[in-house]
Order: sequence, then C-alpha cells, then structure tokens
Amino acid sequence: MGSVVEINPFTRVEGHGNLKVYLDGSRVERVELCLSESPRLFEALLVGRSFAEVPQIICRICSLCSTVHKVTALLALENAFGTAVSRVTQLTRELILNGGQIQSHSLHLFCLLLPDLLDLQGVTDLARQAPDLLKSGLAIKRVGNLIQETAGGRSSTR
Amino acid sequence: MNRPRLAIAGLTACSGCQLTLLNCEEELPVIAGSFDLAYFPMARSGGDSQGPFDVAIVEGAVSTPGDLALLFRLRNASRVLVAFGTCALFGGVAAMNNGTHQRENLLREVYGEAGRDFESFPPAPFKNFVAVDFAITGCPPEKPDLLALLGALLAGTLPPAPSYPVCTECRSRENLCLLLERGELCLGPIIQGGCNARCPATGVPCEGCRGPVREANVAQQLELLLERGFDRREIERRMSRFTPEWDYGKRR
Repeated sequence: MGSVVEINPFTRVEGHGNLKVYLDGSRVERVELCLSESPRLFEALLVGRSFAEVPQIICRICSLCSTVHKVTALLALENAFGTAVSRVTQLTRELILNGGQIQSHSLHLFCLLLPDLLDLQGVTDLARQAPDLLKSGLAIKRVGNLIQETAGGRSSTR
Repeated sequence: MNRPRLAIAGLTACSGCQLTLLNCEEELPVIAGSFDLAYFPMARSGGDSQGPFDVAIVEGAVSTPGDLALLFRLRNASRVLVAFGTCALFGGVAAMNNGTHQRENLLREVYGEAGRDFESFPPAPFKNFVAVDFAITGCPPEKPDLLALLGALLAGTLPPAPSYPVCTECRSRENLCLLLERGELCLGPIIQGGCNARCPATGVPCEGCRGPVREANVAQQLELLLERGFDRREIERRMSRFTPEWDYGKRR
C-alpha cells in the first residue's frame, strides 16, 4: 500500500521549500523536492547600474551569509578591473569573513540543527530543556557578530 | 501570565529580518521563554500555521500567489500584523526595478524561456493588500526596535513609532557630512533614522535601506543633489534601490 510523507514547509533552514517522499510499504518509490523560493532576479536588477552599487545590492541575497556575498562581489569587481587591494584590506576582509563564518555556523549548529540531535522542535524547547547549551552557542554566535560589527561596521556587513 | 502567541514568517526575502531576532543572542533565551513561538519555520519545526495568533511578525515583499496566500492567512489569524523590515514596508531590493522594467523581461533575462513558468509579479509592500498594525523598518531592522516591540507586546501594547531622518543621529555623532562637505550622493535627509547613522559613521553614504522618513522633503533633496551635479536618472536609480515609489514633488 503506497503512502506519501510530506514536509511542507522546510523548517530551520534559510529559504523556502518542501519535500514529498512516496513510499511503497517501507520502500521509497520517488522523491519530489520543490524549492519554492520566490525569484528576486538579482542578476537582472544589476544591469545598467554603477559597479559601485553591486556589493551593496548583492549582500542582500542572503542574510545568514551576507558577508560572503559582499566580499565575493568585491572580488568579482576587482577581477573585472584587474586591480589589487592592499594587504590591510585583504586581512580586514578575512577577519570579517571569519566573523561571518563563526556567526553563520554557530547559528546553524546551535539554533537550527541542535534541536534535531536532542529530539526537540526549536529554540523555545532549547531554552527550556537545554538552556546552558543554547546560551553557550549564542555566546559563540555573538562573538562572530561582534567581529563583523567591529571590523565591518555592522553585523550583517551591509 | 499568558504567553503571547507569535507567528514569525517570511515572504519574498532573505530571512534577514528574522535573523535579527536570532541575533539578539543575550535576549533570545528570555524571549523564547516569554512568548509562545507558535509558528516560526526558520527556527522551529512542527509549528501551527493556522493560528489564531496574538501577533504575526512577517518579513518580505509580496511577489507570488503563495506570498499573498500566506499574508492573507496570517492577517486573518492574527490580532496584530507587524510589517517587519523594508521589503514588507516598501518592497525592498527585489522591487528596485518595478518602475522601470516589465517583470516578464526581468524573468526572461535570468531564466530564459523558463522564466514564463514563474508565477511572479512585481514585489509589493503589505499595505497594498492588507491592513498593517505596526511596522519596523530596516534592511535588516535594528535589534532595539524589535526588542522594544516585544517588550511592549508583553505589556499588552505597541511601542511609539518616532520618525526622524538619518541626519539627526548622524549630526549628533558629529560625523563629517558626506552630502554637504564631501559632495556624495547621501540619502540621509529623506531616510528614516534609528540606525544611529551606521553607514555615514563609517564614511559610506546612506543608501536608503530604511525607507522614507515620514515628512521627507523629497523635492528639496532632489534639488540639492541636482545642484551638486548629480544626474536625475542616477538620483532616481539610487533612491529606488529599496523604495521604488517616491513622490519627487513632495515637500514635506
């Protein structure tokens, strides 16, 4: 007898999507993955704009990793112009990126993934049932944001 | 005390406004204990999407039938609807070309012929479709604005909504004026403050990410920039980056 397991929407992840798993008894017959992210069309939005606008717009692609998007846009522009930046600029970017990595990864690990490992539903359950673990994770996350804010002016480096 | 039931969700957006809540690292454990985060797909599974909710805090612009359906559902199921962030309030980055380009052309430019398959319309703010009870602006919003809202909700009310331009905080921080003293295309005078002039304080002109201040003298700003030699098209392009619709003749 066939049955369908549906996960809609995906939770504890940045972005929108859903999944259908078609089962024949205990055997998976077919899997449908649907990414329902609304298109924002960044590639087309940039056409006709000044190069200087590109990093400021591109960092809005994703909030969780906006730092990476911004630095990548800067690298692309520098590559296009054939220019190089100073060692200080490179190191500052590296520092901001590391801050972003710490923020993004600790968010993922402690807020989004950890509930699965403890068989909980989300941050509210964590606050109640694993408060020390959540707090220590958030302390790490906070350091990541502090680095980004100190070196880049704001925590999402926008 | 009853914990207020919240729905926190996103439409066409980057989840940055919702991340602002998760970025309240010190306050998050208390917030999680004080509210029933009944529907919050970004940070919990198995939520209740039907409600009823005391408050729905929703980010993003409306650009698909799915967005519209979720917005209507949350509006109908919630006593208070909060437009959370610049996209929800003004359309935001995804709406920047609304006034200059046809949606189908933009879709074709990115996806080719497959662009026809998207059910996508020009990203629009909530106010075009539903009544909004409270708004927090910003791309992303500032943490204190969100915390003020949550604190007020626990007290059964809504916080005050002051409206002053970016220049107010910029001047009080004694920053160099990028517009008058450096001749840069800074939008500070017509943009909603509350960000403590983050960008001008680091030497970056205000790009307008918090949307128009309530009594923006748009016409005066336009004249000022034109006098300084900026091209009208460039000015409009910059102003529409987060807010596609401006009344360029508005004086206050």
